[in-house]
Amino acid sequence: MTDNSATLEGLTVLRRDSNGKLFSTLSVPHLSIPSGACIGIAGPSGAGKSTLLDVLAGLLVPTTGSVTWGTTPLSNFTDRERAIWRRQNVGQVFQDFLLIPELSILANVVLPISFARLWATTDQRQRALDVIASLGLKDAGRHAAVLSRGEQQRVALARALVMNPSIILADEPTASLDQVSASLVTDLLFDEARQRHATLIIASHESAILSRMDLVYRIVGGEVQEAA
Amino acid sequence: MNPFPMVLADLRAMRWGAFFTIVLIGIAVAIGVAVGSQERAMRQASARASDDFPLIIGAPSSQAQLVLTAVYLQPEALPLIEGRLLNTLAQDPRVSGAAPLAYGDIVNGYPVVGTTENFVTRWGRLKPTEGRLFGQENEAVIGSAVKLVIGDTITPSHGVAGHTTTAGEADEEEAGNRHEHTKLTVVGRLPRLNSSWDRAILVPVESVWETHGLGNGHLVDGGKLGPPFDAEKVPGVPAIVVKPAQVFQAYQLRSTYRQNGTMALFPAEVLVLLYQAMGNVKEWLVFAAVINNLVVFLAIVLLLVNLIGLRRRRYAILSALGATRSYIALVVGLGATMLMTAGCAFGLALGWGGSLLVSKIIAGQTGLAMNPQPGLDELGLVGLMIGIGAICALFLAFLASRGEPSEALRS
Repeated sequence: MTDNSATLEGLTVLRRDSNGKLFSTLSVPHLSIPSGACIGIAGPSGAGKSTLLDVLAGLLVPTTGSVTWGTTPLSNFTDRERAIWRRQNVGQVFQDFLLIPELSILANVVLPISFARLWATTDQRQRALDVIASLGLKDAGRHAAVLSRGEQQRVALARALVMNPSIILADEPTASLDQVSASLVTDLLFDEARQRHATLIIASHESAILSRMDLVYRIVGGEVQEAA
Repeated sequence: MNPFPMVLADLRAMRWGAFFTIVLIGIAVAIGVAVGSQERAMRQASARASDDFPLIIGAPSSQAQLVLTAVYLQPEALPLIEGRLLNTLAQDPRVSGAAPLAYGDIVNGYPVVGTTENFVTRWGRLKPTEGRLFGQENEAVIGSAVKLVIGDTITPSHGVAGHTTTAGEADEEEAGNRHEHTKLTVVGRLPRLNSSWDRAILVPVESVWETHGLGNGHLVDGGKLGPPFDAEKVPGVPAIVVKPAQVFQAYQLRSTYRQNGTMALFPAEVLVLLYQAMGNVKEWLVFAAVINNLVVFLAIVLLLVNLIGLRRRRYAILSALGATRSYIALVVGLGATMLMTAGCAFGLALGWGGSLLVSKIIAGQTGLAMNPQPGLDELGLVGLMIGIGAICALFLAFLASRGEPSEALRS
């Protein structure tokens, strides 16, 4: 079984303010995430939850420190290596979905496949259609531009799951959904993670989600603390 | 990797921008293509039209005007040479054939040219497609594009200096200068020559002389048409077309008739001078077109640079989903190359189409049929523009693939 644990050591993310002055947006002296665990990240808006997810996804290179997934030293990777690793291992749901409006639901979902292959295989295409259907989305040929926020969120989730990722990162995945849809999406995330022993990390305000997590970390002012 | 879903999505997202980019590049490229292909078509058509005029003899004056009037039937009053030169040429062993060309009259805007049967048939090469050749002074043979029918009776009018005619239309000026005593009957139609002569009305040169009260050039009236003429009675003519017996004799004839009150020339030598002038103009026009193209390309690249700046977030999405920088560069580079190539292809078609249209207009005005084709020069120009477009696209691709995706996603 793949080792999907993560270790963060001496990690800081510094940014510059409008005056060019550096300030810390995230500080993690040490954090271990067990393989296959369901981890919640809680905290107020702007606390650094999305930054932590970006660092874990290899989208953001920390100013100092290291991120290691299993035996993969992500911090030592080049841009290209991190992009390929992300495509092969990470399914990420972004807070504002990040869909391509001119592509259909299906084309958005299979888009990451086109980064490595000419066409999606029949199995990949069927898997995409199955995930789309399981999320209650009808007519996969509709363009993303005409979808409601709730539908867009579900397309973003389908895209994150279609490659069977071993690491699932979700930033407020139910924020735009009604209670029924939110429950459906949350169940799907947990089912997918458990079926493949994937590590699931969700940043959320929702207590209904956080209560289902194995472990919840709280971020306050960029500092990561284990929640009580 | 397959960049096409994203390339097509990008083009869809900026469809109006893409449309105007293609149109702007197309117009810029079309100018260069049209100038080049039109100039070459003009050169080929004019050279082809002069094939039937190996050597022209006229009175000393402007060489260019003699060629323009004799070959392309551009109306102009030329000084006359003595008609008895026709007899001299007829007896010259170096001459295979010689025919007078007498201009000045018009019918329905068509020039009336007095000549002899051997020139009407282009020294035996042509036969009428309808009817027959003229056999009497009051008969006429028409060019293929003349809107008259066999059996029509026509009355020539005296051409007035500075009067502009429209082929097929008799205006007030023409109506006011009719030679009412002259009636000509159309007896034949010549095949298409793709030259100004398709719109000419050819009559026996005796008819032109008679119409202008100069007699008929023969000792007796109603005799055989054409040479030999009576040396004492034969009137002057504006030009004589000479067909040399041998190529080397053409140079001897030119030398012989470049003295003693005559001027002899090969139309080609005059055309070469005209082409040189045209060539210089063309080079400047093409140069201006290339500069114009570069300015348009630069403007479009700047536009696309701004657009890429605005679309940083879109490309960061691809990166966030696991696309490498090379994939993003390929999407942007391919999209820009497709736009610029489509613009160049559109420009090639537009330039060619424009050139065909201009040729049609010129053919309508002069009868000179042109067949403009994009040649190596124009294809080279389009290739150069595509190459420059590809380099611009590489630059754009490099710009798009730079930057931190996490930052762009938050922007």
